Parts: sequence; C-alpha cells; structure tokens
Amino acid sequence: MSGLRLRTLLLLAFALVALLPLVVTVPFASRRIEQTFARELSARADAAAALARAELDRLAAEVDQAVTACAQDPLAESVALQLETGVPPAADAMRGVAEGRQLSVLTLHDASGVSRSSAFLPARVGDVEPGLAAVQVGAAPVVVPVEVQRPEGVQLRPALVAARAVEAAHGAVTLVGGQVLDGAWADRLARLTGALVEIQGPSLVPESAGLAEGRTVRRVLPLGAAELSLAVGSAAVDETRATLLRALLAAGALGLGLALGAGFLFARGITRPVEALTDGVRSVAGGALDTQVRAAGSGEVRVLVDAFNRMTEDLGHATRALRAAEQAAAWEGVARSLAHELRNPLTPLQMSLETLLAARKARDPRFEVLFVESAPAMLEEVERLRRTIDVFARFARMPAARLEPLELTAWTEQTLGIAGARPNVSLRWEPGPPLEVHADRDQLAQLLHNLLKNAEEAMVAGGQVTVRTRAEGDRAVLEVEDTGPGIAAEDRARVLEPGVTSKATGSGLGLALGARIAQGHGGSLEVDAGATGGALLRLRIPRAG
Amino acid sequence: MSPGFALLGALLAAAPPTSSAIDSVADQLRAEAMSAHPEPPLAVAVQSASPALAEALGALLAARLAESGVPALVLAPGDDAPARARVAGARSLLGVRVQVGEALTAAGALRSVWRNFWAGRTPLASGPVRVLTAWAPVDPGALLLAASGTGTESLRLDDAPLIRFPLRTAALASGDLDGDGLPELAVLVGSEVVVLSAAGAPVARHALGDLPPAAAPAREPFGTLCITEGRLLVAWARAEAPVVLQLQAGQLVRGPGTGGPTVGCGPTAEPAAFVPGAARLTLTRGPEREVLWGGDVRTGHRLLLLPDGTARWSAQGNEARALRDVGAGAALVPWRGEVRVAASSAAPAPAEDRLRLVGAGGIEPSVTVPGRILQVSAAPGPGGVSALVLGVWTADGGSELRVVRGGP
Amino acid sequence: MNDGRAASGTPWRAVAPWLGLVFGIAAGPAGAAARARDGGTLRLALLPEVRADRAGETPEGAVVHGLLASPLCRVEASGRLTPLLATFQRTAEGLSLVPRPGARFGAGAPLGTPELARALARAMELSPVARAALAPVRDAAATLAQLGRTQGAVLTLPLAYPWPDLEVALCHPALTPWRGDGQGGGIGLYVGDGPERGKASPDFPEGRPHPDALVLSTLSRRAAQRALEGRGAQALLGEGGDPSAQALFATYLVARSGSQPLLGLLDSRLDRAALVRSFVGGPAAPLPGLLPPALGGPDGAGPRTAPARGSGTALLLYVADRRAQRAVAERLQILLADAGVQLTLSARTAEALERDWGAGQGDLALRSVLLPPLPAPALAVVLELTGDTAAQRRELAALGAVPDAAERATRARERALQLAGTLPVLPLHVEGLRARLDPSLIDVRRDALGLLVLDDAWWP
Repeated sequence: MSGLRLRTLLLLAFALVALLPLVVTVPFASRRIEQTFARELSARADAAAALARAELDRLAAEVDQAVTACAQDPLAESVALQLETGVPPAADAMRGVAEGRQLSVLTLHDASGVSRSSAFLPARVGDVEPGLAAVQVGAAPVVVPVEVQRPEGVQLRPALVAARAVEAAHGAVTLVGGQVLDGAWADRLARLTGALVEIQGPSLVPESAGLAEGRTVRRVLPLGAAELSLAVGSAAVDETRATLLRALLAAGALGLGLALGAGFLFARGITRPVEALTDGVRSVAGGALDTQVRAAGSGEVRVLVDAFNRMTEDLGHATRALRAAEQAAAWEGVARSLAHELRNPLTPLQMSLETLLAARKARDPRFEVLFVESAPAMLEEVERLRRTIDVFARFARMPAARLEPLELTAWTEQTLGIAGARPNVSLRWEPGPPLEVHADRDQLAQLLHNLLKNAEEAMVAGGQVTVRTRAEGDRAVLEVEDTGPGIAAEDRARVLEPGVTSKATGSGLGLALGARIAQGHGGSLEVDAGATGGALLRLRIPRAG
Repeated sequence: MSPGFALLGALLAAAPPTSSAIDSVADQLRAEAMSAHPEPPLAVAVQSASPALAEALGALLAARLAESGVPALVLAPGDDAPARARVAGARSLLGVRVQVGEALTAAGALRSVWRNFWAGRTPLASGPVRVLTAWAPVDPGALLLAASGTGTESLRLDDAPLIRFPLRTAALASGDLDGDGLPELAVLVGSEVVVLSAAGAPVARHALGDLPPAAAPAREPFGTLCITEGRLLVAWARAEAPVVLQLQAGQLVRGPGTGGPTVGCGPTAEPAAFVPGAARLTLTRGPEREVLWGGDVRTGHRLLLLPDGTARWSAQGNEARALRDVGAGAALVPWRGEVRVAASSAAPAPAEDRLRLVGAGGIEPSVTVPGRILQVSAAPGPGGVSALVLGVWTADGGSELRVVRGGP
Repeated sequence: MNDGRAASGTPWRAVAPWLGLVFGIAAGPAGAAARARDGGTLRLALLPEVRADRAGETPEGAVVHGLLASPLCRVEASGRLTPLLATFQRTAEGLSLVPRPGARFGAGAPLGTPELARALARAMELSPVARAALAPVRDAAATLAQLGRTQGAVLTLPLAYPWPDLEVALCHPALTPWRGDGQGGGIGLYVGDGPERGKASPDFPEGRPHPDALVLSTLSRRAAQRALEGRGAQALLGEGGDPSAQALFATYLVARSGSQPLLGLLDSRLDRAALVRSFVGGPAAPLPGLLPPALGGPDGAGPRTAPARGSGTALLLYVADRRAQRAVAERLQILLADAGVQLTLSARTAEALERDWGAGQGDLALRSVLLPPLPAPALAVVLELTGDTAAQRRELAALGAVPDAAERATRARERALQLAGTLPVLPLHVEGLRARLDPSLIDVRRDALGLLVLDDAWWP
C-alpha cells in the first residue's frame, strides 16, 4: 500500500513539475497575446484604410488618365464638333469611346451643363445631370452621386469622376467620365483589404461587401458625396488566439502526459523494489518470516533490499528457533498443566485406594462403608480425569480454522440471541460498526461461548456481562467484560496458558483454547481489567480488506 | 447638196463673216471644250433641226478648235456618232445640239470615245462627260440659217393632253370602228377598254375583269389592240384568251371571232403570243422567235422592237436596218409620203421622253414629251397621217393621250 | 414614278432636257430599256431589329413581310385603292370580299372564303389594328369563326353600323392573309425558297415581280450601308428615311385605369421634340395629339403645365427589339424617377407584349402601331389600344353615320382633339419609314401608309 502511495506521490510530483511552469506561464502568455493582437487589430484596420486609400488613389489616377485620353479621342471630338455645328449627335454616340476604355461613366456636356451624349445614361440627354454638371473641369477626380439606370429603376450611386474639356471644342464642351463605386468594386476592395467594406451616402444605395466577425475596429474614409467605412473583425484574431492557447494547452497536456508517462516508468522503477519490500514486510507480518525480496534496484534500494533479505533470513532463523522454543515451552506448559491436572485427581484417588487397601488388609469392619462412600468420589475423580483428557485431546485435535467472510457485529448479535438468558446474569450488548472479518464460525462460536461461560462462572453471585464490538484501525475487536472479581494483574499472562484455572471445576483450557482460536484467526486474545474491576477479555482479529 | 446649202454658200460668200450669234456660240463652246483638255483629235457632231445651221456651226467650231491647237473633224450627227468617231480616228467626241428659239442655244457633251482595252465588246460609256452650254441672242443670220432647213421636218406637241387616265395605258389603237369615216381611238387601260372619238371624248367602255385570268399574269399593263374591219381585236396579257368587241349602239359588245395578240394591224398583221408573266411578245409564225416588246407591220415594212432598246426595220426587201435607242413606244408611220418609224427613246425612266421620226435620211425631227411614251399610233387624217397619238405614262402613276403634229 | 431617283436640283433644270437629248446622242444605248427588265435578284439589307419584326408591325417589317405575304389591297399615295388579293363590293348588309381567282398560297391552295375568314379571325387575335379595322363588323369574332367553316364565292361582312372607310382599313398589313409556316405562309410576290430567300411567284394576280429572286440579308448598320453603297443590296431597311414622307407609325404610352394619373405626370414633364431628337432619331416627329400631323392632327406642342410630382411604383412593358422603344422607355423611367415614381422596365417580344398586356400584366405599355391612312380608322385604332370597346363602338358609330369622306375626316379629327385628355393614352411620337434605296432602282413608289411599294421595282 505504501508502495502505491509512493508511486502516486512520485507521479504527482512529476505532474506538478510538468504543470507548474505551464500554469504559471499560460495566463501570462495569454495576456501578452491578447495585448499584441489588440494592437495588431488596430494596425490591420489602419493598413486596410491605407490600402483603400491607395486603391482609391490608383483608381483616381486611372480615371484621370482615361478621361483625358477620351477627351482627345477623335470620336469624342467629332461628337463635340457635331454639337458645335448644331447637329444633334446620337444619344449613345459616346458608347464607342467608353467601351474602349472601360469607363462606366461617360457623358458629354455642353456649356450649360446639359448632357448631350452619354455612354451610360443616354436617357438623360437633354437634361442637366445634377452630380456631373458640378464637377470642376481639369481638377482631380472627385466622388459624386450619379444616376445608374437599371430595368428595376434608377438608383443613385457614388462614382469617382473627372471632367475634361474636349480639345476641338474651345472649352464649350466638357467630357465627364469615371467609374461607379459599385458592388463589384466594393467586393474587390473587401478582398484586397480583408475587411468589411461599406459605402454609404445621403440618398445613395448603400453597398457593402466582405465580412468582419467578432469585435470590429472601424476606420472611415470620407469620399465627398459618400463615406467609405472599413471594419476589421477580430474573429480571425480571436480564433488565432484561441488556436494559440489551445496549442499551448495541447503542448502542456502533451508535456503532462509525457511527464506522467516518464514519471510512471521512472516511479515504477523506484517503487517496484519498494513495493516488493512492502509486500515482503507484509508477508513477514503475515507469518511468512523467511520472505525474500527479489527486486531490481540500484543504490540505496539495493542496499535496503539486501538488508531486508538478510534481516528476514535472520528473522526466519530466529523465529524458527523461537517457535521451536515456544513450542517446546508450550509443550512444557501443556505437559506441566496436564501433569498438574492429571495429578490432582490422581492423588485423592490414590489415597482413597490406599485407605481402602489398608482397611481390607486390616479387615476393618468399616471397609464396606468406606468402600461405598469413597467409590463415587473415586468415580468423580476418574470422571474429572477423563474430562481433562478430553479437553486436552480436544485442544490437540483442534482443526485449522476455515475462514470465511463474516460480519462480526451482526454475527455476535445473532449468536448472543441464540445464547439465551441465564439466571442472575444480565447481558448487555454494545454493538459497534459493521466489521468484516474472515473467521471460522464454529471456532468463533466456541470462543464466544467459552468467554461467556468464563464470565458467568466468574460471577458466582450474578452480575452483568457486557459484550461489545468495535474497530481499532485494521483490527476488529470483540470484548467480553464481566463484573466479577477480575483477574489479578500477575495472573493475566498465565490465564491464557492451558491448565490454569481458578474455578473449582473446569479444566482451565477454555481461555487457552480461546487464545489458540484467536491465533488461528491471525489475531490474539488479550486479558484486561474492565471498568468495574471485572475481567475484560478482548479478541482482536484482523479485519477483511 | 440641198438647196439650203447652196443658199448658205451664197450667203457666206456674199456676207461678212458669219452670224455673230453663231460666232459667239462657237466661241463659248470652244472655250469650254478647251478648258476640259480634250484628247486630240476631236470629232464634232452638231445636230439641229436645220441642217444648214448644224453644218455652219460644225464647221466654225472645228475651225476654231483647230486654231486653238486641237485638230477637229466634223461628223454627221447620229446615234452611232461615237463609233464613227472611233473609226475616223478621233479620241474625243463633242456632240452638240443647237436650236433656235427665242435665243440661239447650244448644249453639248464632250466625252472620250477611246474604247477601254478591258471593256472588250461591251460598249461602255467610258470616262467622264463634260457638259458644255452656250447661248447667244438670235440675230438675222442665225434665223436665216435656221429657216433654211427643210422646215416641214419639225414636230409639235399639243399643249393639253387629249384625255387623262388614273392608270397606265396598256395598248393604243386608232381606226374607224363605227364606220363613220372618222377615226376612233381605242385604249386598253386598267382592266377595261375605252373607245374615244378623235377629239378625245369617251364613246364607250368595256370591262374585261370578268375574263378568266391568265395562268401567269404580267405585271406591266400589256396587250395589243387592233381596229380592223369595224371590229376591235383585244388581246390582254392578264386574260387567258383574246376577245373581239364591236361597237353597237354606243355600247361595246363582245362579238364572235377570235384573235390573239398581233404585231401590226389589218391584213398584214403577224400573229404573236404573249410571253407568260412578262410584258413581251413572240412571233408565232416565221423564222424569228425572239422576244419582242412589240412591233408594227405595214405593207412592205416590218418593225420589230427588241428588248435591248434597239429595233429592226426591214423595208421593202432591203437589208434590215438596225435602229438604236428605240423604246417601247414605236410604230411605223406614213409621214409625208414615206414610211418612217416614230420612236420613243429607250431611257429607263426618263422624266421627259423624246419622240423622233426616223426616216431614210439622216434628219430626224423630234419633240420632247413629258413623261414616258408607251404607245404611238398614227391617226389617219385627210391626206394621210398628219398627227400621232401618244400614250404617255405620267409621273403621278396615271397616263394621258397626247397628240403630236407635224409643223413648219 | 421615279421616287427612287434623286430629283434634279434647280440649277440643272434649264439644261436637263438638253442633257437628256445630248446623252441620247452621245451615250448611245447603255443597256437601257423602256419596258421593265425581268431578271436579277432583289437584295434587301435589313437591320437586325427589322428582321426581328416577323409579323410586320413596324413599317420596315411590313415592307419586307409584304413581299412574301401581300395584304388584301393597297391604298396608293393618291388615295386610290388597288385590289391585290380580293376585290370589294358594297352590299346592303355590309361589305363583300371576293377573293381574286389566281390568288394561291405557296403550297398551291387557293384563297377561298373560308381561308380568308380564318385569316381575318387570326389577325384579330394578334393585332389591335386588325381588331380596330373589323370593329364595325357585327360580332366580328363569332361571324368570322362561322364564315371560316362555310364555303362560298363571296365573304360578306355584316356591319353593325355604316362604316364607309372599311375598305381602306382592310388594306392594312395587319390584315394580311397568313396561314403560318408549314402551310404555305402567305400569298405574295415571292414564295419562300429557304431561309431569307424567295422566288418570284409566277401566278400572283397582279403579275410576277420583275426580279427572279429575293434575298434578305440581316446585317449590322455599317455592313448594310456598305452593301447599299457597293450595290450589294438594292434597298436598306431600318436606317435613313425621308423626313417629309408620310409618318404614320405612332407610339403611344397606354396605361391601365389605376395608373392613368402617371400619364398626366409624364405629360407635364415630357418635351416631345427633345424626345424625338435625342432618343428616337430617324424620320420621326413629335405626336402631341392622338392623330398624327399626316392625318391632320395637331403638330405643335400644347400649353405646358407645371411639372407635377407623384409617388409609388409602376411596371412598363415595351418591345425589346426596337431600339427607339428601349431609348424612350429609359427616358420615361428617368422622367418618372425625377417625379418621384419608381418605374420598372420589362422588355418583351412583340407577341409576348400583346399577350401579357391583354392578360393584365404591367401598369403601362409602349404600343407602336402603323395607323391607317384615314382619320376615322386611325381613331378606331387608338380607341382599341385603350381597351374600351364600348367607347369605341360609340365613337365609330357616330363617325360612320357621316357619309361624306371629308366631313367624316374633320369630325374624326375633332373627336380626337376632344378625347385627348380623357383617354388612358399618352401620344409620344410618330415615325416614318426608315429606308434607303439604290438610286438605280426604277418604279419604286410609296403608298398611302408611307410604305415602299417594291412590287414594280426593277433596275436596268
């Protein structure tokens, strides 16, 4: 058990060593990452805005160049000439010029701002186009609202346009052209910047493209007639951060796993010999005194294992010697007790027989009476002899304990119930917690019976017998206490020896039998004094599990 | 040489140099011609109603041109003038027409007659044509020369038409239908036949619309009419079969007899047949099988109008004479003792047409007629034919009958 | 007679006669002819939008269609009526049509009275002009259906009220007898001989045409002009045109009753002269009144009202193939957008527009019709466009009761002026035939509808 605990401890130590830096660094790292990403988000938003501004500038340059080229295109000049000479040109005469240069806005105005020919809105020819007429000739491209005509209706959209005077027209005719900032342009810008692009303006059709998830940081570029807003979402950032954290945690877990694995292997290497040692100790405690531990190990562990093996070897020898001595002593004790027990009835018997012999020899007339008087006493003595021999035979014949699981408290209660009441003796039952033990029911019953009988016999004038069970660590304890005279302290050790009895009857083997039963159960029978001075007999046997 | 020329010679010999009018005209023409840089040698053909005037102007013009350094020769006028000029070795042709009216006017065209090597046989009008005009107020000399022509060789168009129709005329015939000695005029117009008196008053009408239609009707109004022996033979290109009409009590009724389209009228008429779907005829008898616009036959003379704008005139066993620029409206006309061909021009769509009388000689009196001449018929009169009736298609899509008379 | 050739200018007039004679001397026979020359192929160059007009509703389409399927009769520019496929007789009941013998469909089937009745019935289904022309016929649809089942020598149309202009109205190309493809098509000068080709029909009642064959080429504007200049084509249809010629192809904006206020809105903002100048082009003129100036309608703009404003939305149907209609539709969309109304444009083919408008789709429609050459039938067509048959019957019965033609025309003009503001119709513009001819073509003239009559055309 301690070996396991050691292994667990080692593993925990490894784990802790692996985790501790992680636990320390991850929150710190996460905070740092968050700060960095927040800065980065802001920087991205700025970059997106800068890209958008650059794209607008590029588009403006394109528009500038294209419109200037258109103003010098011979087709535009011929249309302008037609205007000057009073010939109305076709409403869509400018279409050829616009297509060649991919301008989505192209109109020819006369001096009063009236549209005369238009590639994109021929339906406005003859009217003043509100947005385009106000564009300053020759200036840089600006964003103005223009009408875009579709079968579904007429919409106002922002367009980047520039105005140029047409060459052959002496300044009376202007060409206005450019590009509509429509959904396709917003899409391109969104893809370019990776941001959510929104173009909005008063009475303009709002346009948006791209997406920004999560928290957003927004930048707004004023375009004149419209407003371009770029929003950068932190979704990617959040995801990156989450991925990073997850990676950290995964690394940590991996590290932990590795640490645990390594720790397990390492610990096993250390604890196995310790466990082996522990097992050896346990087995020694369980009685196998000459256990040898085979375990690999090095260093201190090796020294320990060798010392243990030597120790158990010595212990085995010593224990064998001791056991032999004990056995011899026990046999001595038994022999002494047997001799004593046998001698006691033999003496009166011998005396009676000698008296009788003498009387017969002397032809004493009291011989018949004497013989009749002393014959029962002599038979009683023989009976007593036989009883003693029975007890001893039973003692010698006691079989090995057949252990089976048993719940001591319940069994005791049950057995007490069967025992029945006795006159003058009250039984008091103090149950303890359920105690699982391995015991031989018969032997235990015999033991309990013996204890109860002893207690009863000790209380000649009546009294109370208290039976209690309780747990003491890994032992189950069954106590029988009486209110008799008790056993003197100096006698307590001898009481358990076979043959010692203070009772007039009895062989004096009951408690010894009890002690032997207790020993067979791996426990012990102790003699103690009770609270009232009576005898307290305590059976201590190991608990199961 | 004609007496006119003799007179001219005398005049020239006697009088101081030529008429100042003719002089002036010749000078103007010369100046304009020179400014066009004609390719020498230059051929000059002058036409006029008065041959003396034409000769005088021609000679004068040639002399003036030669003085200016362009050798010139004088040709007689005619349709084949370009060919004759080519044969004579000239490279340019100046054709002039001169007329005396309130003023002496001359108009001419200068063109190159050198045939393009690549033109092959096709007679193309090659090269640009330069138009020249000249004018001078008349003076006695010009008038004298003008009058020295044969005089009776002019034609005059009556101012007012005889009658107007809302549709185009298909055929025209004149003859005595009712036996009163005066000629009547029969006109096939639209889908009816109209008979008029010589003064142009309608006498009777007859509708042909109920006739079974031809299998392949012709688009243009076409047919032939012949008044002979008191009957009017009508052949209409839109009808399947011809019909004979007689005038009875002021009505035209269908009479017995058959006919068919004919070339010519009377005993000398030659039978013909309509070409299906076209305004054309073919002769059914005789060796010629060509497609004709029409034609006319009189004793000893046969005129066939060919679709290319020419005509073949065979007279009294002589060689057939090919006439150029003869339109669909042509007929054989006994004129002042000889048989002539009265021919319209073959221009495709003229605003004004020209009727001329082609005779054996080279002089062809002509008159301008507004519209396109489709039919020509000689109205018999006392002492022969003195007037021609023309069916003229006018610009408004209708037609009218006009009369042309000979005059001094 | 000679409309095809450019007229001589004034400075030449004095010399022209002489020139003719001089050319006669000097030029000689230059392949000329005084009778029409037969043969050759008449080649027409068509712009794509002309070819798309298969039904012959536009003037150019009618000219092309008329060569392959002749109408019943023709009204000449002088006013005279030339029967082509049928002759007319006035009877006590009404008008009788006698099919001309020899009028045969391309497959050989003759034009009998049942076919004529069925053709008229079919025309009524497809064209508002046809319906207007046959409006005076008593119970026209049922009568024609019944006549389509009975044989007879004469087709008699009973009239609900006297209508002296019926013959003139029946000469319109919309009433051309047509049996649809696969059954001989129409009865025309040319018989279809393959896609875009025709062969001269030998048995046309008025005679076969002078050219042997007809070829229609659909070309772009530039290619068509080149073809005309290079003598590859004798006529170009779809471009050019004589502004002084008869302009009867009128375009109206028709509204359903709920959308009639929009017409007033547009009228207050519309400058018809600018519309014609900038958006229609070609030989076009503004149409201020219901009847065009060619029929005596007003030609000056009326008094202008202050531009009004409105709101809401509307759907305008127009014909996709016609460039002028598209440009006008876009202009109307812009004008209404200025007035606060959102107009949605929906393009259709000509048959689909007729069908869908009749089915109730759309709030406004641009309808272009070739009006008949007399005021009373023209007013009948305008009333047909409004869809109000009861009002049409009332007006026509009143007009038909006037026997004198000039008085009837005057009365029709007066009614047109009176009805102008009340009908759900806004007149926009009127166009003439867009065509250019090879100057060498001879005997080309125009009829009373302003259409080219190429029946007699030939070239030397």
